[in-house]
Amino acid sequence: MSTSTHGLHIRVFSLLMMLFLLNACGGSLVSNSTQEVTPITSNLVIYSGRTESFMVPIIVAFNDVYPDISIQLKSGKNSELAAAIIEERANPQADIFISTDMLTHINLSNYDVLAPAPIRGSDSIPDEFKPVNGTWTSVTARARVIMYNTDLVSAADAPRSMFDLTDPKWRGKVIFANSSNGPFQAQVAAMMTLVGRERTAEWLRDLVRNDTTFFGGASDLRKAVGAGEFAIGVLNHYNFELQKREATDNRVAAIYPDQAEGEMGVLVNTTTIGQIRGGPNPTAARLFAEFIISETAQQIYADTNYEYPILPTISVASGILPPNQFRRADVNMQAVADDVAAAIELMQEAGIP
Amino acid sequence: MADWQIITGNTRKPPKVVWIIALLVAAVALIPALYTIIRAVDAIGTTPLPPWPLLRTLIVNTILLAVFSAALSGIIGVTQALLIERTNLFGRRWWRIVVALPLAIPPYVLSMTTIALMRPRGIIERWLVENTYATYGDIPFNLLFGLPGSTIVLALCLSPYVYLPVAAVLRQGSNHLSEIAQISGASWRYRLRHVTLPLIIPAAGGGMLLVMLYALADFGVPALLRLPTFSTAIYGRFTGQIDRAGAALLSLPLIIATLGLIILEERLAGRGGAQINRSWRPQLPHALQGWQLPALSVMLIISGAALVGPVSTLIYWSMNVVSASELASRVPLDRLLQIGTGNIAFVAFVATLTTALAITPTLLLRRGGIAGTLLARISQAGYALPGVVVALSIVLVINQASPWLAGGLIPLILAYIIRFLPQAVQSLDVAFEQIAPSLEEAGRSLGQTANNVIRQIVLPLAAPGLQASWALLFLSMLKELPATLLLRPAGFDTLAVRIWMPASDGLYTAAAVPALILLVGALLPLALVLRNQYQRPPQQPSVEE
Repeated sequence: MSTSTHGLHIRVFSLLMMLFLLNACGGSLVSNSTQEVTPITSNLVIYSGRTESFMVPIIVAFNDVYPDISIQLKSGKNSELAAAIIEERANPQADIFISTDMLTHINLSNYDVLAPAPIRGSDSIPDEFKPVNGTWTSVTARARVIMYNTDLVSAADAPRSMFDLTDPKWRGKVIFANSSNGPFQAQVAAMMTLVGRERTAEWLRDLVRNDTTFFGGASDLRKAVGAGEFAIGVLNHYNFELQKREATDNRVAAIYPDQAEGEMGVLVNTTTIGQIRGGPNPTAARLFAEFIISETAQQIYADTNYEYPILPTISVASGILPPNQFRRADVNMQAVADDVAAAIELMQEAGIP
Repeated sequence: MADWQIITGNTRKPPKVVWIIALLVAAVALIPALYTIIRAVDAIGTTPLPPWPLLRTLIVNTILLAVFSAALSGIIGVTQALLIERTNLFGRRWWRIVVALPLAIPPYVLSMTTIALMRPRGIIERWLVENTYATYGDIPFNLLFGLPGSTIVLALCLSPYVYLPVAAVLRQGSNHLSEIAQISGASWRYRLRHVTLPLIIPAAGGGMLLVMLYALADFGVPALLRLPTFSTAIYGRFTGQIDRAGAALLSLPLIIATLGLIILEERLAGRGGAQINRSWRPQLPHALQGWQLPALSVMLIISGAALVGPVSTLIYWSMNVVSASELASRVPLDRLLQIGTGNIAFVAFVATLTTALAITPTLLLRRGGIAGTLLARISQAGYALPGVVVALSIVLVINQASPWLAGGLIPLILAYIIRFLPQAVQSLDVAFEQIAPSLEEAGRSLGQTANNVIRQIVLPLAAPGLQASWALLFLSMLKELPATLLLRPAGFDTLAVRIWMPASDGLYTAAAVPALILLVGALLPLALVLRNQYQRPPQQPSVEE
């Protein structure tokens, strides 16, 4: 029973799926229809820390251009897949690794398992979102925001800072992802640089003391706030945008926090892609990496998932707070990668599950 | 039994080849467990333990979940068995099948549907607010999350582990005592307390211990219902950081707790059990009279919560698309059917392999003296390893010994074998034990080799048991989640994975179709298990003569 017989032939995804995409992407796919179909036959194994529903539209669009590249997708958590890549280094199984957190890729590149092949088209990506050695590149950017349920919290009352969440008036009403969540780990690592290790540790302890719930993934989290089960959730901005557009439970608003003088500003992290050194299908891997930072894919991420495209030429979807409208935290994410282990330790010491 | 061992010890002695294979099987089962313990002990001191408050929460939650779900499934299973086997409950023949059906429902699927129905502002609360005078928060639906919800979900799914053995005892067991008591004028209450309950307590206890073991190891239910336990914490450590030491360290207490339960189970297993004799006949059922309706209501409520609720919710979801993001995470039906068939073929293959591997240790269990028992017990080491830990230990060992195996199907196959070998050995042992030693002796005294006796007498006679054991393995493997999640190679999808991916992200409707396919796939092995349970002739060939 070989792996290939069970290959996830994403291209058989239903017509329904395609219709949804066409509908959701507006004109972008229509202009693609004139694009030539490229005859390359290959497998492509993708390890993805991103939720499947965020990968499928890109894979479908990729298969429009390269219909004979059969993609096998393994979704999981960032660190789980990173560890698997390290463990498989003697016999690499994956071609591509996508994560929801820049720091995972930075730390992975230290194990020498990523191919140092600059991806064509990555020139136009700002330097802060890609490393000097070319082992990975960012794909999309997202801001860390505070989302609240407008039925339960008034705009005037809403917390303006991450540090407001430890206020006793929010006792038991706040939900975060748990300590195995990459973006949350990155937030803590960045905060250690921004406000110091001690203050970060105290903040985490106060969150725990305030009966904060730490649970699961972003989609479940946004739904819990949308439904009013929790008043406030900390998540990436596009989760708020998605919840706002749901047919029900959509009475939510978001705060881009810590904007006042002397506060740390909004944390911005990126999803990232890297090619595995010695992966079985290097050509297909290169094509996929090029595709995901192409204007077509960037437009899909901007339009259907409301993320900030990494290419400066693609505009954000309408209704999304543009990146120049809020103050970003002054921290070099690439420089805090070494602090991830310490951040996890801090979260565990605080008792975050 | 002990007398038989002494008299027949030599003639039933298994041939060398059995020993050699059993030795290999034991090695496969033991090495990962041992290595995980070594790594965990290694990590003490160098890797920080979670702080005491979190550790305490993990310990308390894990123990309470195990104890409460065992207690609740004990109550449910015994009640069902008594009503079905000892009263004139309406529709007994149907109930016998219905109450065993939750075996086909993975607890994480029941969690998912229960969350959608019962969560704060879930389907039920919304309906109440819209249609009655209730307002949000009147009813504490938030109790669903955490211990209460996890306990109820596990107990509903696992109660067949209590029901099946208890019902078997009630059906097969001698009821002379009960009749004598009745003739002597004892009330039904007296008979229940002094005759029936002592008869079923060992079976119920054994079943409840199995539930405890399951609850200790379960990952899906506490993960979805937000109850931090050792399983979820180990999974968090495993998936949340690159270093494996933390996960290994956290496994240690869980391994120790599980070992404790297994030893307890060993003690219990020796006692009681059904006494079968030749004068067996069905007992006259107790007339429920005015209690018919209340009894029926209890049965309906339990089965409604365990079966009708989840299945109808799944069907409703399958036919209704809720939101764009749920649509996007849906996998088309033809692909799901393809995954389903692949999954069933894979599980059938591994279940067959595991049953075959279980034969030699089981033969040694009662026929191989102290060394044989030891070897058989070692091959059950996987029992002490919850799925998450099995996955972890296989990753650790393969990483250390043969990194070339990483990423393929072999780690996953190994995980299934190690995890479910104990279950196979146990059910095979039951099958082998029912074969009269005199038959084997006769074979040997007629000049057959030990090998031939096993092949021509033991295995054919144990065939129904082998089949039932295979079916149970098939069911367990089809539902297996954590090890599959962590070890599956890219592109190798199982139905459980297809359910978990959207469900863990709160996209329940996308998980509905694969869940229904899994239920259908589980029905065939379940039918085999039930046939073995109900059609096994109560009169065995005269064992005791």
